[in-house]
Amino acid sequence: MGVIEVEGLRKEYRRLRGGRTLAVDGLDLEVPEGGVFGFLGPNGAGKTTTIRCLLGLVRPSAGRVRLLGAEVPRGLASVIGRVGSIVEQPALFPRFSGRRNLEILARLSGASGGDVTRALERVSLADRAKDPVKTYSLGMKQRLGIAAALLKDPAILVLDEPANGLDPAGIVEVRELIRSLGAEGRTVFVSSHILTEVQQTADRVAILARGRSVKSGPVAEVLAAGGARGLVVRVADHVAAQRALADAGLPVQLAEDVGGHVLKVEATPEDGERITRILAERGLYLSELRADTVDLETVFLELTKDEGLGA
Amino acid sequence: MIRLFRSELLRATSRRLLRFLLIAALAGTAVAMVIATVNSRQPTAEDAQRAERMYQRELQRCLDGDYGIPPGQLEDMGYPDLEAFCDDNVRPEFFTSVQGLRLSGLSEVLQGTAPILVMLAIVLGASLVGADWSAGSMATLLTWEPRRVRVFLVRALVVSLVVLLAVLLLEAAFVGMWRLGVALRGTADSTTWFSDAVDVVVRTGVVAVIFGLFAYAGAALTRSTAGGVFILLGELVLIEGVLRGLRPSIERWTLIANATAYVSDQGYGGDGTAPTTPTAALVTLVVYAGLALLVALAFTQRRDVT
Repeated sequence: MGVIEVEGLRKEYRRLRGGRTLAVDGLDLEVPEGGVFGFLGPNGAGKTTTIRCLLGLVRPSAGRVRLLGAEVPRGLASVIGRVGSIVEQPALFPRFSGRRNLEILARLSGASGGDVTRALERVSLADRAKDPVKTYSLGMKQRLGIAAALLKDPAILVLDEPANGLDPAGIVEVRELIRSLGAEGRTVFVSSHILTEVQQTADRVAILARGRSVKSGPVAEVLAAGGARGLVVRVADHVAAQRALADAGLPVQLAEDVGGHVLKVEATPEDGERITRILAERGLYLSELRADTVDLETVFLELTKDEGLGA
Repeated sequence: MIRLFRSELLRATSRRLLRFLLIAALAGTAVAMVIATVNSRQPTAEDAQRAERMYQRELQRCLDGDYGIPPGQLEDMGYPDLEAFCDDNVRPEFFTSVQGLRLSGLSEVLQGTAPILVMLAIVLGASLVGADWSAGSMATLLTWEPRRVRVFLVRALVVSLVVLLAVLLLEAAFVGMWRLGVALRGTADSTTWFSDAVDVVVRTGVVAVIFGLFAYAGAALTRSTAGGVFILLGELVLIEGVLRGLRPSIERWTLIANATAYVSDQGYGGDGTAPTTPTAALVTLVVYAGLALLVALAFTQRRDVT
């Protein structure tokens, strides 16, 4: 049983001038306990709406949501104390200091002043704790939001686009924080449309397109769904090399990358030695031989191609 | 529930608007009282003798029946006899011709300043919920306490408490300054001034809380401070104004008439409309506020937080 379970979730928003917008369309999702779970999808895919449904902020039109085994929204109150979250931007009072914002929330959970101090230290904001939140950078606000979520000592942490608007240094900071939280045994549920970012932090992912999950599972498994890629070979005379490899019975295709023409050979890494020998026997010396890896972005674009969202 | 209350109270009392309004109101009161005290003077012995003569003459006229009130009507007005009527309606302070601060005038001035305090309550009531929507922190709060009914009711309680304490603080400061002004350059012409003032202060506090709750309900419905304030002011100025113009008999059911009737402790009834007592006026206000809160609660409970 997952700590987050979503079955057939559907959410329609009514427009003011009539008509409806379908934000989530029969979503199924199961998030196992522990580690970082990436919830991926382009803008408008339904990630934030799903998160709002998880947290009881939005009522689903249909389907079931369970958080730590409790039905949402009916049983949410019984588990909310173990669920930390940031939905979109951390929404805090801009004129209050960072510390005062946390103190207000701490009173809700019964956390002490010491807990507030520790949470601020955890996100490296202790030095700026007395400053008004309106003077914080976006990255600091994100970290303050995470500090607020940590006040509950949560079993699940739900973070909606935590890297949004951050500069590279801020992204690295938040990434490290997420990794360390996941390593502590908490379940960190991170939504993002920055796929490379999630690839570096998540253990498992679900890819969402038009309100539906198109693929989910361990990152390696999802990457494999992008197809067996084989090996990339770069050689000066790519025409002769292509002929030589084809003559040796290896499926080979000519392709281009930023460095010019390359050959993509359908082969396993163990075939590297054989490829080197075949080419050398023909007097062709390769300048590059590497595994043709895929990233989540490529997989995502392939998986969502049929949805009309791909490139 | 206690944790939520403590958190909401801390949030409310941390707001700059609350401190700003209180400081501005206290400063305004202090300036007004300094001006009033400077312009006031204590009566001379001659003034006091003249006032006493006029009082005795008028009291005698009343006791002689010159006011032309039929004996049967006295009972309807709540007086056992003519003497009680005259004691209540002909008082020494009515004949003090000296301009300035008088203890006997305090409760009347407190009644006159009640609308200002009600306005303050409206702004506070709307702001304490509206600010959360504009900052987006309502979503944050609901991810800590998802039971919306509980959040709504605790907030209503906090609004009531903050408004009541703010009004009591300002009224206490006003009464203290008035008393000081009287001691320095005024006329201590009443022995019941304190109990009279406390009565008005409590009534004003109750009405301020009710109007604060109206504004709170309006802000919860519109999810904005401005929305809460404008809904209530629109009702008071436009709807009640228009309704009174079209059908004067409806005045008995308006918020303004009932609030005035309760704060003044005079009841309401005139122009052929059904009379009402201060207690009935209070009940009417409480019922209206209850209905407004119920509508806002139903709305809060059902509507998505996006």
